[in-house]
Amino acid sequence: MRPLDEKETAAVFEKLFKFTGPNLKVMVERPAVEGPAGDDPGRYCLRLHKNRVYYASESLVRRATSVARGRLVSLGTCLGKFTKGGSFRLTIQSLDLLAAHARRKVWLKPTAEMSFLYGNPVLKSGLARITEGVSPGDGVVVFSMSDLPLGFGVAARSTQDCRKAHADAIVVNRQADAGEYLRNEDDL
Amino acid sequence: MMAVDVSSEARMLRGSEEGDRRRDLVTRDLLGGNGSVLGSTVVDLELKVPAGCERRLDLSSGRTYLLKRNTDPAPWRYHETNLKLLPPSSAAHFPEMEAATLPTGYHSVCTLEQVKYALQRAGCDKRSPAARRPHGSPVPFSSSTTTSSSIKRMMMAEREEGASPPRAMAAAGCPECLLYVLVSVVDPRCPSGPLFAAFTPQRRRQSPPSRVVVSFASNSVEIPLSSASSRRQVEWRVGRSFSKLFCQRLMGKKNKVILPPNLPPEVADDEIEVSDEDLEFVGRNRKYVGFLTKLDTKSIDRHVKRVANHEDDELEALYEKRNRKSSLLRLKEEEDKLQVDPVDALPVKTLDGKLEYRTADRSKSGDGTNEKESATGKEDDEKNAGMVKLTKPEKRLKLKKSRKEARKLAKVDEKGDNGEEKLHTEVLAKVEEDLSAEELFRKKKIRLAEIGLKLLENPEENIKALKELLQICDDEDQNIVKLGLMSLLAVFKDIIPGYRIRLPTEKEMEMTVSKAVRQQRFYESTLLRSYMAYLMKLITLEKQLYIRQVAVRCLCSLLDAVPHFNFRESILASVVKNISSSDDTIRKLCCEAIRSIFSNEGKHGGEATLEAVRLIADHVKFHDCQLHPDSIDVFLSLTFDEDIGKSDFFEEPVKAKKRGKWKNQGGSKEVQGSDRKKNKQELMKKTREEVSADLKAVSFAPDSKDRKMMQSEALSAVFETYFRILKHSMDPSASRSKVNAVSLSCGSGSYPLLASCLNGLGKFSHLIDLDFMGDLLECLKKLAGYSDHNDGSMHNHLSVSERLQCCIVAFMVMRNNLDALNVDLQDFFVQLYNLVLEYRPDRDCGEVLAKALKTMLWEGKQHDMQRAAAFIKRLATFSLSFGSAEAMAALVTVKHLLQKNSKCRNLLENDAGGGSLAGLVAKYRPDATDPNISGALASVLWELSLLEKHYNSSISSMAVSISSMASMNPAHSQVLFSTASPLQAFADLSIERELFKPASKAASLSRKRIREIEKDFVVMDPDQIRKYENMIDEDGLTRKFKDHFILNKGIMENERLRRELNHTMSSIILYEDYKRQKKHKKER
Repeated sequence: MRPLDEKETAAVFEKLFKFTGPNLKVMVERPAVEGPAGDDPGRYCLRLHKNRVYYASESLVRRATSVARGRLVSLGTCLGKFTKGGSFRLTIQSLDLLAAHARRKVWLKPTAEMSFLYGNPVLKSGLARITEGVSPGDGVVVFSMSDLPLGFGVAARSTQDCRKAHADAIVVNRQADAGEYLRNEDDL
Repeated sequence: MMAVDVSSEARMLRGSEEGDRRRDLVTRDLLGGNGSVLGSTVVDLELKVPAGCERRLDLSSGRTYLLKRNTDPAPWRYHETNLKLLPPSSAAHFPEMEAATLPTGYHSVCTLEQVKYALQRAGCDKRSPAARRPHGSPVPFSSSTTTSSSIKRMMMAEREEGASPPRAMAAAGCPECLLYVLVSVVDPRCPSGPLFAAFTPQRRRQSPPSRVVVSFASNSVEIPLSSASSRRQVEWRVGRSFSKLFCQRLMGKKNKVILPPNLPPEVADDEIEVSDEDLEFVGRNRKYVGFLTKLDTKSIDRHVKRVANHEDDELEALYEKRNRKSSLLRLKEEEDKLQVDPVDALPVKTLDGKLEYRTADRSKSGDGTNEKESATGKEDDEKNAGMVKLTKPEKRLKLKKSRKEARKLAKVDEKGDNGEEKLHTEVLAKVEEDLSAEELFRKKKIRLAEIGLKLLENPEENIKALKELLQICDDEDQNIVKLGLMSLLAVFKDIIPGYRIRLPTEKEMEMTVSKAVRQQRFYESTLLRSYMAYLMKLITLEKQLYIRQVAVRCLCSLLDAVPHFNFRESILASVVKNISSSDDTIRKLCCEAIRSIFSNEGKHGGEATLEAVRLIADHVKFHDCQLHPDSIDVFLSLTFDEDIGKSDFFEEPVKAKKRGKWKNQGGSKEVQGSDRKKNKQELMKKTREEVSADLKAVSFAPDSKDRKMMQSEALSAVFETYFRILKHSMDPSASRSKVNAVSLSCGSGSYPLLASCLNGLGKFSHLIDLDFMGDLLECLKKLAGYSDHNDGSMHNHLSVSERLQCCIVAFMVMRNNLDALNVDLQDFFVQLYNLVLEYRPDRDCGEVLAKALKTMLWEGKQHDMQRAAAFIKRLATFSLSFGSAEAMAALVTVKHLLQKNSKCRNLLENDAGGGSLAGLVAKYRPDATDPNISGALASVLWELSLLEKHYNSSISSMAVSISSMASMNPAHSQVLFSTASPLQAFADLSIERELFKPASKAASLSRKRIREIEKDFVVMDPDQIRKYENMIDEDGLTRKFKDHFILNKGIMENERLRRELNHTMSSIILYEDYKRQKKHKKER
């Protein structure tokens, strides 16, 4: 377990920024929930452990140091992992964090939820609502109509294009969905 | 001293003048009578002041004289007060007929107040004659001309600042305001009163004008002059006629017998206001007022009682006779008084070089001032009026003597005469011009009316008269031009046909046509040509300052009345040019005209609308969006009919079907028919097409396709304008540089057009093409102040209201196109969330806020839980700190949000933290800019418990109902769904707020509002009852108190009476004791 070096940090933040936009600052600087209940609750920080990036409070990190590296499976929230090629991927565990700070959101119709959770992209026909001002390539968090985050992905077309798009057109390319907890249980 | 007077008089009569004419005003104050005049010598032209002498101004004669003093000589100047007496009747009104004639250009101003005060002073002096005798000059000596008169003169000159060159001005008495005023000879008009006098100046020796016209309050009298009639007679006659007119005016009758001149209305002394200035002046120069002791009341009476109804000549004769008598009397008197003062008397040096020793009488000073007084004459008091008579004989005498002296001074006069002659003729010409101008004006007016009537009677025959009308409009007189323009407008409005005139082509001209057609053609071409000329004139006149309004009015009403006619484009262009004029009336006229074009499309078939819209768009573009908002507001009256094409669209397929059938039939026939038939059919078809094409060309209304096209083009022009404005206001660099210019021109913010532009966008939002929408929203987002980066410069130059409006417009645009896709306008929510904090009730429009709450929160379909919670929390906080109307709007929204988002109701529960719902953010952060990360769900709506104690009952009840929602079953929520929108709530409460004020406004309340009030009373029933209970209690209390007080008072009264009784009883006993004792003493 070690702090991220500069390159890695840049890669992680770049990815997160796609989803959160200016809220990234809030996400990084927010006071820790767990930890000693005192005047200074401490901040959250990013740690790299076995190619995975974890988002954990400082107190947790301090406590985790007492665990041997080999024995430590996970700490805090896993944001994503570095691939063998060196690029960073967000994983489904980061969904809650992203959903809380997301800028671009897509709401799915109830009929399209299952399709999305099975790993399919979001089609125009399944789109109930979309944030204004989405441009292609933006990170988008997918919600159900009851504001339950389902997953996230990358917008395939802008909000304007969505209006005129065909019903079968892909709006959001899936990156991760909550269904992965079942499908890829082993990898996570 | 008599000689002095006479000589000066003579000079005046002959209009003698010095080389240098001065334009100073000379006060004809009555305050002369300087005692030091005694023995002084009149100094004549070219006479050096002897050593040891000083030059002074004699106020009585108006000339300088030498005083034995040690002062250095300075260039000599005449000081003529151009005092001249008129017959008493005219003196009141025309004390200064000659003012205009005198080439020296002196103008006298004398206010009634001065005279009045002088009289008062005189009254004082009578009581203490000793104090009256002036010794030495009251005015500090100065080298040349600083005497009291000149000081006064300067004062007056200041008062009459705009004194124009002497020739054009004259002094005259205004019968309205009873002031002597300076009037221009060209336009004799009292600045505060009606037109009152026009008179021709003249000289005695010159051949006088043949007549003098005296006009007063639209009456005028002409006085013919024979060359033989003396100046005096003329003057007198003018005065007479003037007073006659005046009398007529007063009596309100015409043709009345000539009355003796009215005595001035009696005015109580205290009613007359003496100006401070005059008071001060008189106070400083008390000695000047001594003249008033010498008033001859007898002669006044005599004069005033003069018989009416006499012929003018008779009267004159009588008058003169009487004058002569009295003058003789005067002479005797004066001779009695003549004394030689060897000390003060200085020799007069005449032009010949003779030295004349003069004697001076004591009354001189008094007389001199009397003379002056009489000039300003006919003043209020009887005392005063005496002087009118007094001075007359004196004047006679002087005249005689002056003639003698005039002979001596002939040489000097010769010179002056020439110059004077010229000037006189000039003035004469001017006055004549003036007189004739008035007549001309009347004549022209009549002519205009005649032509107009003729044209309206039979426009075909009298069409040529249009040219004449146009020529009249070329007149120099602006009034005539205005009248001409207006009458032309009326004529054109009436005679312009309901179609566009097409001038025949050359080919058509060559063809021989019937007489009627030729006539018609001639008529049309003349009409068109003169119309064109008229428009050209209007457009050129539009640039002139005075006629501008009239020209614009003409253009606007033409545009309104005949938008179908030729040259509409040029009218439109000039009207649009004026649409953002800084002149309010012009701008309003133009806006009205364009609005009428927009609303009455039937008149011109929509073409003019398109043109106008395009022109306005160009105008906006040209002026870089720096215009008055009115110019864009006119777009709001545009109407776009969406159904234009639809009916046709349905019809067409049917037609096509029919045609197809027919074709099929034709085809079947074709097989059968011969070639000839085919040709025939083709020919028929062709002719039919031609006919239909002609019909189309002739028929005025364009078909739906064209209309649709025009409409879409107009719409695109409108939106182009709107987008241009938006874009312009987005560009901060451009705006910065132009802010100054804008603030100079408009003063309504840096973006004058933005507000109206947003209004328009809101209105036409359903017509915006989807393609534009992205850009539009982007624009609006930027305008609303959203920035991608939190650290970005947030100093937005738009006001909160404007930004709120941006948000509203975005929402409206989005909602009106909801059928395409449901888009969540998160950025605008963020904006609203922040703008709520920036809102100030007194600075920003509360209605806009309520509207924003309504469109964005109340009507919105779905909301994030987090966001809704954040808004609920913020609005609750907000309602704590603002006025009741805003608070009510906010609370209504809060209630609505809570009803829709059942999960948010745990805000109403007492434990902070929000439990599982709080999400990642466990603590409420009120300062967060994004509602999603504020963690509002972790907070408690403690504001509601405070609001329950709000002074406004409706708000407190609303707060109670909201806080009771916590225990509510989610299933019940639908039942209690509130129907009032925030906007409505806001309006209701703001009305209520008005009602809190005293009932003076209640009368103006509309019926609807009153109904609402009644509703309020029903709602507030318990409160009302409580109030009534209170009132009853109070009544009881007051009654009890009253009883108590009455009782108390009775007791007190009783006690007091008893005490008195005791007192008197004891005193009576004492008295009796005393008596008894006395008796005892006597007995002893």
